[in-house]
Amino acid sequence: MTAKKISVDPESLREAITTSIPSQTTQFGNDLIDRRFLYLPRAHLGALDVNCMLVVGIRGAGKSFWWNALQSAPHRQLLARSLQKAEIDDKTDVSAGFGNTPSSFYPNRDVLTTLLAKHKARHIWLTVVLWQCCSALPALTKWAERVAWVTENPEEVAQQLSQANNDLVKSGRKRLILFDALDRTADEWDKLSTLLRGLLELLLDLRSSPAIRAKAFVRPDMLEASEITSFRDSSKVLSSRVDLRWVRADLYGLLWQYMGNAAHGATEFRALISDLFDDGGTEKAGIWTPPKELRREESSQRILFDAIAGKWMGRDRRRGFPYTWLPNHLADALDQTSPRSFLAALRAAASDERHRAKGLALHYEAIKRGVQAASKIRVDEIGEDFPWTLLAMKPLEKLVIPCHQAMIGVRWKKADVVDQIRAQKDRKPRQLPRGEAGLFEALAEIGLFKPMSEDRINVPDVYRLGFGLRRRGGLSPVK
Amino acid sequence: MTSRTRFRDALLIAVEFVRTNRQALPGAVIVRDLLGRPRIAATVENLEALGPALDKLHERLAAFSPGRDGLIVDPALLREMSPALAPGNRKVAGVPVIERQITGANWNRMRIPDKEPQIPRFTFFGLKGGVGRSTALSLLARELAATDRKVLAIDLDLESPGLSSLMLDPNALPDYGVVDWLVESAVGQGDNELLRGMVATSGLAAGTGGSIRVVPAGGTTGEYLEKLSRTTLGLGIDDDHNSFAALLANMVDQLEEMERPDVVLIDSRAGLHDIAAVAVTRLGGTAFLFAVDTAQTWAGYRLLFDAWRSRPSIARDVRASLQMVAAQVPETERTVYLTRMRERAWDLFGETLYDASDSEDASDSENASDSENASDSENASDSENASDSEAESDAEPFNFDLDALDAPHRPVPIYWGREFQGYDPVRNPHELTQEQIRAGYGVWLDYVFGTLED
Repeated sequence: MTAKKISVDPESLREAITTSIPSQTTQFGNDLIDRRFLYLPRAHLGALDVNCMLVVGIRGAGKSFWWNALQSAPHRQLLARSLQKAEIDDKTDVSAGFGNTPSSFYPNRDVLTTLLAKHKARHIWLTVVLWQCCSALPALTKWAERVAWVTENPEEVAQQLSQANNDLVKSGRKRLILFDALDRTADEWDKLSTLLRGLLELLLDLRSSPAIRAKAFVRPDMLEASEITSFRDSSKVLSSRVDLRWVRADLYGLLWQYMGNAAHGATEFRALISDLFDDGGTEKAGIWTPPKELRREESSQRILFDAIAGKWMGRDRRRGFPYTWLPNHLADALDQTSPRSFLAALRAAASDERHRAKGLALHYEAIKRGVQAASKIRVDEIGEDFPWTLLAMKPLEKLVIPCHQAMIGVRWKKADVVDQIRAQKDRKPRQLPRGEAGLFEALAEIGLFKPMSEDRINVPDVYRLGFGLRRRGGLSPVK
Repeated sequence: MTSRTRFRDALLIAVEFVRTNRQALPGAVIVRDLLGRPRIAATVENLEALGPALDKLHERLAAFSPGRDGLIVDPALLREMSPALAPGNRKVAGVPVIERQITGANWNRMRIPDKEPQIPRFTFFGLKGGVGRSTALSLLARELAATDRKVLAIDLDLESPGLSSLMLDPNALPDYGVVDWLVESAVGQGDNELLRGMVATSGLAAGTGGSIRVVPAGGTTGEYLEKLSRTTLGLGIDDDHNSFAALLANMVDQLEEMERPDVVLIDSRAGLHDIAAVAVTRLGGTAFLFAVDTAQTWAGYRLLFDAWRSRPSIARDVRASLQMVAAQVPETERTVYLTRMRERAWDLFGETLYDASDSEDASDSENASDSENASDSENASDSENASDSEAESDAEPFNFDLDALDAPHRPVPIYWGREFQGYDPVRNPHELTQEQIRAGYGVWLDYVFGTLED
């Protein structure tokens, strides 16, 4: 397939981006996504499998997204064919065992804290599961009473669970319970780790009741702590983990899904695809799906993105190529690019009125602005998940990287960073007791610092820009 | 001061002299001769008044003084020696400095082509021999021919020529080679008749839709060393139109005109030498910097890159044409090896040729307040400004993150394989299978073909 010379209205293509991708404030994640923009990356199918207990993903990789979408019947229906492979069908009942939104299905953070004072974490989660799938439980309304009952009646609990499982098997149904936003279960690390560990233990226990499935969405750093993962047979849970990874082809597949279903410009975008490729995608019940070729073949995706953003990231080829440049510059130190960053960058690029290229929807300078905007969003997100990172990074403003660890240490000392983080109320890095060394480790673990040889540290662009660090260069830029 | 005035001191002393006596020395330019002795070219109204200062200068320069009365030269004389101040000449603490040296001068000159050459050129450059440059070149030539392209391969590795033995049957060697062009054109005989006698057809393209034409370092007419010694001994160095570099650049241009190839491949002299300088900085196109991960490799490239860095206008011109190649990547622990190489290459480019990132005051000195370990504190008098006639300003800084794809520092790998050792396609044309070639050279070949498609 070679690119033909075709003319598209750049403004329409920009509209296809700006009218489909939500602005930062209503960015998808917590809210249920519009079905038109539902896209299933191939690599996520394994994570959705009903038998997959542990799903791991960085911030923005889609944990809450799937937590939400799997609970929605219309969304499941849309993905029915794919979900069949995942053994999730209309005979599967899906509910939430924990999540970002308050619910009567599970205790909130404050309740969990008080429960934890008296009970085992595993019992707390077991209670949540029981009250979702068993029918013959005592009529208790308070979580404290329920957990107390579960703790005191182990035999009855086992019977009830077994009964519930048998009933489900008999009726050919399955129950899937989803746990998300687990970092919001407690303020303090020791409580959080206890709860997480208890949940992992429960996941292991539930293997004996095959019709009752649980799925926990966790961040990778949560599984790094030995407090969480050091229980008997923990490896059986941990080795079953499936990562929510976003490869480049899926990021672009997602973009096409958005653009092709945009409120404005979608028609022009689809026409562009029809001009360039034999298969123009399919529309069913008002929802357009990009052709397979454009979901899987990078060479084809590149042709399409070249038509949108041009071939080069500058005036010559040595500046790189938009198709590879954009995801590459949004990758963290663990080489993961979040789709949220990707879409945010594109939205910002399409909204940048200062940089417009003749005949192209996106100018390379606008794409660079987009990455800067996405970097700011990324920094906000990481600050939400790890509030201490803001304290750790603030004194590093304008630091030229890569640099030796010691230079960072000097700035941290000057700003009393370790003590400041110690004084924080909650969500401190678990490595903090080891001081600066612990901070280095924690920042590397979450993909913010990239350790290099000779004890040096680099910070990838997606964080460097947002935190205001500078990159070393031998020549000062020409004005 | 008890220590002697050394080579470097002499320049700094002269610079200081010019700066102190700026009023008396309008438009002064320092000219350093072969031995490193500085002279000051300036129109001086009242030489007498400068007398005592010149005495002192003479004394301070000591062994590096060109003589008390040779310190000031007439600028008109300078103009006769060299047509113009080449834009590649540098400034030291604001004072223009011109070098008069036999070797190394080509590093200092601007690239001759103002625009990218029309025909894609790839130069294979390495600081060390034996890293598989010629093998890579001949394999690429064959792959290009297999896609119906006409390839012109030129051996500029004059001191250890080897390309022709890899690509030409000994009986097919032409009468003349690159050295002949150099000696003949020095006496005005670099013409088409000579050019025609320099090119031979390689049998490697047999059975393909393309062709491979080869220009060896020397031809069958012999006297190679006699010619070579003359070519490297500074032919018309002071004359830009007849300089060694210009002769070679001109040769490549004329060969292109005569042969009309689709791609030109140039095997360059390994090591820090004028011919390499010509190939990398003056011929344009893409320069593949072959490297293996050894301390010598990086130290060698460091010298070269530092030389560019001190001449920002050239550096800005050259850097976009460079591409690191990881040669002979070992079979085991490839990822570890390539990660380390990427870091080393990034250090090299980052500290010399990449721009400091985006904002105005970004510089290494930013970290200095925190630590004495400011990685690269430049001697203040050495911070040379880009010349006033700076080329067009470039809004986008040329700067790449460590893991950036498609960055000049990111080594394109060529994997080591036993089967590539002793590769001799002339005698055994089918010694390598397509799978073996893909396994060793695939990534790099894809890179080259990618640049051709743009």
